[in-house]
Amino acid sequence: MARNKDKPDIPPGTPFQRVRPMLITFFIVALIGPWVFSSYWLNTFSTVACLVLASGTVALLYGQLGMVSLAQFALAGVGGWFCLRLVHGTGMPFELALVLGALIAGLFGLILGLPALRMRGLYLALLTLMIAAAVQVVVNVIGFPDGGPGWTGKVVNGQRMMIARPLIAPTDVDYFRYTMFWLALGMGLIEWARATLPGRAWGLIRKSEAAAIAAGVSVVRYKALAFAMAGALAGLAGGLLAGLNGQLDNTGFPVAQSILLYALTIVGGAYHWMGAVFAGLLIRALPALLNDHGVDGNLSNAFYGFALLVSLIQGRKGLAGQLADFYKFVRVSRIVEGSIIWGAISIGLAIAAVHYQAMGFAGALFLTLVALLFRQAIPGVCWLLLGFFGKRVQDAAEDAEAWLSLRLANLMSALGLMPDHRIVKRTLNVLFIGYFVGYVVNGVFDVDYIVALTIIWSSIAIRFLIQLLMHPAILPLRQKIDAKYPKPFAAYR
Amino acid sequence: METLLPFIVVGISVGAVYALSGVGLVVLYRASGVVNFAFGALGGLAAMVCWQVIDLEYDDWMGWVAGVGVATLLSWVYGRFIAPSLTHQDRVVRAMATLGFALMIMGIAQWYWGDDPRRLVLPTDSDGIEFDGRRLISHTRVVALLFAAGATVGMLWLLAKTPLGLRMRALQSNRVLAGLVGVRVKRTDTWAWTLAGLLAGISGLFMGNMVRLNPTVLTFLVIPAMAAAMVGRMNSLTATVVGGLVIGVIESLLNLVPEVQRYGSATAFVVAISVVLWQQRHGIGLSRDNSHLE
Repeated sequence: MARNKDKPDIPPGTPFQRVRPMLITFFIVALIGPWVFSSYWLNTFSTVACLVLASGTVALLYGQLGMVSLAQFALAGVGGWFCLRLVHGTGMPFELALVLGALIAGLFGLILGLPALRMRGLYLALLTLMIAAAVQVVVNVIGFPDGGPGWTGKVVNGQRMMIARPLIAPTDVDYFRYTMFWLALGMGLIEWARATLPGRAWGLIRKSEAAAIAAGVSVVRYKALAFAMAGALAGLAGGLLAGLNGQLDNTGFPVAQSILLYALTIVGGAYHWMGAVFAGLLIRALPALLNDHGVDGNLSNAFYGFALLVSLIQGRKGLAGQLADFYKFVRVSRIVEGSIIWGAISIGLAIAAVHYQAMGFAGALFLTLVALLFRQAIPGVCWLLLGFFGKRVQDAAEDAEAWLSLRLANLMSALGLMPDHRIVKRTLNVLFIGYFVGYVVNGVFDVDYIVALTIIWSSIAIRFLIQLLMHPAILPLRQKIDAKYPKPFAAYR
Repeated sequence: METLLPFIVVGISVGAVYALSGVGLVVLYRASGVVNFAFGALGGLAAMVCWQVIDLEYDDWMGWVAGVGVATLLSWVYGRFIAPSLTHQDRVVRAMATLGFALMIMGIAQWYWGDDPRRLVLPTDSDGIEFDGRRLISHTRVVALLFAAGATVGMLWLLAKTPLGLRMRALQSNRVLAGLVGVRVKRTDTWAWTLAGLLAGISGLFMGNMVRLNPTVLTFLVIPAMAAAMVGRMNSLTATVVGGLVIGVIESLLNLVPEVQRYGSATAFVVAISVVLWQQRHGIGLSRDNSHLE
């Protein structure tokens, strides 16, 4: 039965219901992203969006079909190459070149998938690795087109030309939203396919090809579809990367990146769209953040390696799987209540921060929201993430915490104060949130560390006071909501 | 032939290092079913440690022992403590776990030693085989060739003649049944990892001397080595060595053709892809590839 934990959870609902939360999330990010982030971080997040799409294609092949392709980032390079070549060669609009480049990359993906029709598992992984390595050599030699003559379109000893941003997205802000639009389209396509007929056919093929054939599934057609789709969307990501800077770097698509993309998709979680988001953030945003703080980026490689090892040993759901598990246990009333109270607190604190000129409105709003979200989620997630290191570590940590908390609570009640049996856990959580979110915000928004800490901790304190005062009034409402939207796994206390 | 000869000699000497790494990969894969992505990283670490020890003005031989020793030790640690928790996963997952190990080693080594230009000098560098009055290959490459030949013969002997080799072959054909008849699976596995670490360390020293002394570069040299091992279907040591040598020779001969010269470093991959596709047409799969049963 050990294999059961590796199986993906298949959420119920219609295809649209399955795609909807993702689309809403992307829409919100596209809407408020530019408002919150500086230009540098906005470009970083445009890159992240492209990587999320590329990672989504890896997840499609691995999570849904059980096939390992280590060449997805190389395919992104192919898409980017043709996109640049078409724009430089014919002067066609960017969108057209983007789509054509994606289609050509899809064709490459299809060719790549041809051996996969008879090959599985490790051999396919090694074969795609060889292809990615060969693509790297070719790209190193011919380079990416930059307006030069000849079929390679490479300028020799001259000014490199760049392609213009698309007409409807000339600025960084517009381009971020433009990328998010394509990301939503691409990921929506993947999720839609996963939730409908192709997804079921793929799932059956993953389980057993013999069973799939017996059930009347055309194995060849659906495998080819998966590889073409994955190739095309990876190519789209490459084209979007090309459009971001107007050119691509010859060293930008090494085989190491293809491998890293696969590895981090596993760390993020290949069975849920959030996994691709985590993978994109880990590849690009984490090194950028560390760089901001002057930490050597190589250490992030060591960290990725560790995370990969741990997540493979721990079963294969990754971070997204852990979060999805966690969500199963959260009551709906908490989400409603949290959203209302958080909204009030964060807007209030953000206005206060602007009033005292401590920091910008958007930054403060973001900071408070994240702090409260973490305050709500971290008690679970943080200890859940300990489970990442193994059940034994998690249990030992819980036991130690309980032991210490009990002693402290006894001490407090002996002194005549109100005892709290989770005091150590709560304190640790609040400290962790303060320092962690403060660290991130310090890098992203250039806010003073002290200011960030003050805002975070005051928001948590206000939240606590509100809860304390309004608890009797809220309780019946809570029960009503929970009765209406029951969750079978939620721990009703 | 006169003009080709020097290129062939150089090619063989380059291919020997691919072959040496390929042998290490194949031995581990045969015994434990793991494709070791950390092979290059272990070799890179060995080269860096060796350089560091020599740089601290200890004797050369201490550097070599320290480098190879560290690689062997780490490989043993992985095989003894980490690999066992993954034995029941499928082989892709086990291969990817070694990738995690490789990233850890590479990240830490790169962080500690950085990108400074360095050279790992071996005493055999100073002299070499001459041809037409020009230095063709240094003695280091000859030594590497000898090591590759020695490792191949040694491993063939080990697998064919010794009790340990017998147990490894038992694991290769079926782990569960091997365990049932009394083979100590974990211990045999650990031995395979230790041997692989030893070979990784040795080939790492040669790679660090010939290619470039940089942890990241050395880590990803595992990919051409894998190409050599794929020619041998991750199974046949002889075919792996031949594959490595052929790749080296073709790569070297391509220097004669100016049009494709710059694509030379893709030789290993193109050879591997062609061989795999050809084998597939003839119904030859990866050894132990019983994924259709899973």
